[in-house]
Amino acid sequence: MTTRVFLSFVMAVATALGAGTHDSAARTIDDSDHVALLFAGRSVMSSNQPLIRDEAKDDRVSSSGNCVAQVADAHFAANGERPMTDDLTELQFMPIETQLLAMSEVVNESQDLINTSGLGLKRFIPAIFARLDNEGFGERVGYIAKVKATAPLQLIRNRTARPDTWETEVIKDRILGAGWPKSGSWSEIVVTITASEFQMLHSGDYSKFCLSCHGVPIGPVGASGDPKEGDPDEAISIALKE
Amino acid sequence: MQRSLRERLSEHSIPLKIGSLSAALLGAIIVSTTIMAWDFAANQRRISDATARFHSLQVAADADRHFGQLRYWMTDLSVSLLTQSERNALKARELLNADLAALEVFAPDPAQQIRAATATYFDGAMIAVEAYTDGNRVIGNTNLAAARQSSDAVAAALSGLVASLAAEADSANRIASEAASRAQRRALIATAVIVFLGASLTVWALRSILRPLRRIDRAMTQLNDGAEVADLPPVGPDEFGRMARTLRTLHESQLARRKLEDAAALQRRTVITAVETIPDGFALFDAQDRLVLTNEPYRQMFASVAEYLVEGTTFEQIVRARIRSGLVDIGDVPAEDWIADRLARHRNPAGVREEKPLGDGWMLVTKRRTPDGGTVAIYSDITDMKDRQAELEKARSEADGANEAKSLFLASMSHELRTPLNAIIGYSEMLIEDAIDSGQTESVEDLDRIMASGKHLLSLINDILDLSKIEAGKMEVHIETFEVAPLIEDVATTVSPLVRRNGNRIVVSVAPDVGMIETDKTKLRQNLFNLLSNATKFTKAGTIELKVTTDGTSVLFAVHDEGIGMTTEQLSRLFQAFMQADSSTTRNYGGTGLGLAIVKKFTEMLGGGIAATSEPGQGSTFTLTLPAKYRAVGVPPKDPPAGSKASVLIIDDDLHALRSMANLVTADGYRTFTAENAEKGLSLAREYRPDVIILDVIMPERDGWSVLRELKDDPDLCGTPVILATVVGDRDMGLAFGAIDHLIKPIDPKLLVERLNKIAGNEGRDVLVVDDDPGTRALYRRVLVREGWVVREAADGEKALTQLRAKRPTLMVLDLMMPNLDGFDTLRKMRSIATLADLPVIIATSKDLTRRELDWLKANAHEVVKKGEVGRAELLAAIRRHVGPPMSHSEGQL
Repeated sequence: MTTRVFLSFVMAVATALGAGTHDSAARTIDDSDHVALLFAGRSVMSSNQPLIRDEAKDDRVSSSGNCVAQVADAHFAANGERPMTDDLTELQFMPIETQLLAMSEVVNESQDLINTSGLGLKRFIPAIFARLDNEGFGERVGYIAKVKATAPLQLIRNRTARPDTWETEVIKDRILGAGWPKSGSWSEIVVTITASEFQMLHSGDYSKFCLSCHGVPIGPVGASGDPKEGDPDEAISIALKE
Repeated sequence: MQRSLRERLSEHSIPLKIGSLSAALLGAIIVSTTIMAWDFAANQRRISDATARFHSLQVAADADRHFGQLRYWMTDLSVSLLTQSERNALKARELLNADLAALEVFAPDPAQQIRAATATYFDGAMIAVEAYTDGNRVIGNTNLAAARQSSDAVAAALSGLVASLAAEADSANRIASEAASRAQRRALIATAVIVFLGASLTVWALRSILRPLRRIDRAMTQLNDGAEVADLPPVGPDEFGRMARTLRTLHESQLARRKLEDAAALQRRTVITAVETIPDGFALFDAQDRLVLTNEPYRQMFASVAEYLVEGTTFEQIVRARIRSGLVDIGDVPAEDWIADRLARHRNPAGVREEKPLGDGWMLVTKRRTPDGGTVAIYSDITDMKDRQAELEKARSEADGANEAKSLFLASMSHELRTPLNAIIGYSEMLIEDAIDSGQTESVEDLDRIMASGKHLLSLINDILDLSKIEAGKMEVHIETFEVAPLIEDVATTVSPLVRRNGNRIVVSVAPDVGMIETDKTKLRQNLFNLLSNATKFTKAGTIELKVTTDGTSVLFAVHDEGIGMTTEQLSRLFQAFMQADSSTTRNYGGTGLGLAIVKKFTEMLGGGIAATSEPGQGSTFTLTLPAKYRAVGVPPKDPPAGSKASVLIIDDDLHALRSMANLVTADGYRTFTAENAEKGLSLAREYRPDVIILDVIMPERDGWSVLRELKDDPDLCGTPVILATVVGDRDMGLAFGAIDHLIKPIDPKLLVERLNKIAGNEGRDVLVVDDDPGTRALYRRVLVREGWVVREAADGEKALTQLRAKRPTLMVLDLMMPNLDGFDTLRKMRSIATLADLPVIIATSKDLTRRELDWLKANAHEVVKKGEVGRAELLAAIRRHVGPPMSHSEGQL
């Protein structure tokens, strides 16, 4: 398995730190592309679940390249362009690439699990994939950027996805507030005693497959083997350190 | 008096025993139940204690389990970091805290220790989890290892606590179980004791009840079977004692009943024996007409239906059987009708006595109802009696023949004696009158003697005939209501000449309260006349006293004289016929000795009595007592039908002549009654009051003279004209006896009708004599007939008015003092009738008239003549003054 490490990270920090609204800031760093990538990755994991859960198959996802290609295809299908295009700036390119590298690594590291013969439900679901992907992303560029999927606290399954103080407030005041669109982003420059940090939260765009584990009705066990807890109300949190 | 409780209890042994038994059993049940309840409560407490301990154990076990869950989820959280594990761990901790709170109640110290250790563990583990979440694995492992020490301490504490509590719970459970086992044993023992006690007491109670009951039952069975009761239970105050007393009473009554039944059986045998010894047939039927008892004579009498003569056979079955046997002659009557008649008479016998032919003889059937609705029938063989009766009938017939011959002889002799006597008396009177008229007074005294002797003899014969009629039961009474005082006055007046003859005087006194009397006036007058005649006969120059008193219901007529008196012996035979005081009486004083006998008979006929008291030389007192109201109610004679034509009664023993005259009279429009003998003729006369009677003189049983006399003596019939129709040519005698005409057989039809028309019409020269005294009427009749008058008679004013309305006479001779309607009222009423207003009336009275009465009479009547010796001549003179001289003899004949 080949691991590609992207260390370049381009960030229009100056413009971003000066931004008062999320829209202007998000556009500046083109967060939508990253979010689209993350969704494309989970979409591929969703679409491959029947294969992953097929007990009779071996080598269900033969290589990380295959995974990355599928993610690129999904991205293309959803956005009309590939994740990494030539027009990307370096600052835009590095997180995309790092994210794809992390996806490839997660798939490769989980290949034995995915290929386990005679085991259907392997809990290698999009959410697990996304966490592992984001953890991989953090391991690589955590010192400057952090990506995680979060949600209101009551919907969190893994403690590592718990929203922090800022995320909790945005979810409460914005995303769950009146008039928030189904799919939208909120970003701020958060200044603490020790540092200032660009934070963005994007909500919506979860796939139909997500509802097999999270949807309604609340209570019965979903595809993940855990009880359903309602609509995901998921949000993608991206933080960039100054 | 109040009885003691012991006495009252002793009277109710059964309830006492049953009650005691129930009380003992109930007491035992109550005690055992109480003990069991106490045991149960104690056990309940033990079980509760054990349960509490188990509950504590459960709490400790739950705490142990929940701590295990907490430790597990904390471990899982440390590895998975899943919030679900964290939530599970928190939930397990909450449960553990609740368990520890419960644990604190019974184990506060261990609970607090465990709580503190658990908190230490949880906090350490969470620090480790946070480290793991933040990716600080080493720090996490370190903290988790530190926390595990607290975890082990908690687990050890909980395990020790659970073990300790488990041991306590087991101990409590064991104690409760053992106590329950003991209680169960006690309950079983108590139940067994109660069952045994109850069974024993029940057996005792039942024995004490059933044993006497069996004795009583045995005794009752023996009593019921009529056997001798060998073992009667003893008498006592309790129920059995009382039942025994009742049984003894029953036994005694049964013995008495048996004796009575024996006596009844003996009586029945006696009755049957007696019935069997009855020579007559005897049959007893019950209320349903079923045969109950018969005797041998009855069965022999009806031997033809012997098979039916058994108890239970109905009378109807016997009757039908007898008809089938053909021995009953039912004549032409349909069998069912005959049977119905027999049944009806059998069911309602009312003492019926029927004589019925039985074979060749006769039987008398007597049936009577018994009080219970049955019928007793006695069938007597009266064949011998019937034979004797026939003989007696024959003998009676012969006796009746002899009696009739005697009566005929007596009547004939009376007739034969009276006929010449009447002639002697009548002609003596006429000769006396002729002698006086012609001045030949020397012969008057002799003629008086002849007349007196004739009258005495006639009186004697009349007395004999009266007595004869009384003895024969043919003397009749004619009851009327009248004032006593006028009668007494009349009698006194009548008897005055006799009284004066012996130099006596008569004193009459009538008590003021003596008013009316209802009796036979003629007989009373005759009785008083007899008594006064006797009194004056045996008294010389003394006082005859007639005293009338009343006690309200009777009127007493006492006649006292100062005559020779009588001895006791003479008094004793005083009222016997043909007896006088002694033979010298007849010789010295005359008389027949019949007068007092007739007085006595008449008085008795009128419901009264007569008594006499006397002493020799001290005079006599005869007291005649009559009821103020006649006791027998007489049946008034029937009145002739209203509006009917004149009726004629023909009495003749010659049936050919009877029919011939009846046809003749009927053809002329008269209603006709016929009688072939005297009795029937008199009966018809009284019943129908004919307008005219045609009477044959010579008849076999009783002649016409006798009938004529009875008719003229009867106040109701004396006015009826009688035409004698006879072959005898004694016209004068007939007229003298009261006949209005005399026709000689064979009757000329034309002459008969002519005479009848003359009597019924308004022709001729006739006089109506109205007087209640038959003697006076007879005298007047004789005198007037001799003068050529046709004489009609009436006994009182009412009858006179009836006669006047029927036919106006030429003249009426009227007495004043009469019953029913006296002369004054008769005259007053007559004058109010237009056709009679001018009728000549001659008052012939013995009454002393007041001036006022005399004035009234002069205004309403033509003459008033005084009755008496000279009255007769005055009467004739008065008549002559009003209607002219007498007709010639030939003219007087009709």
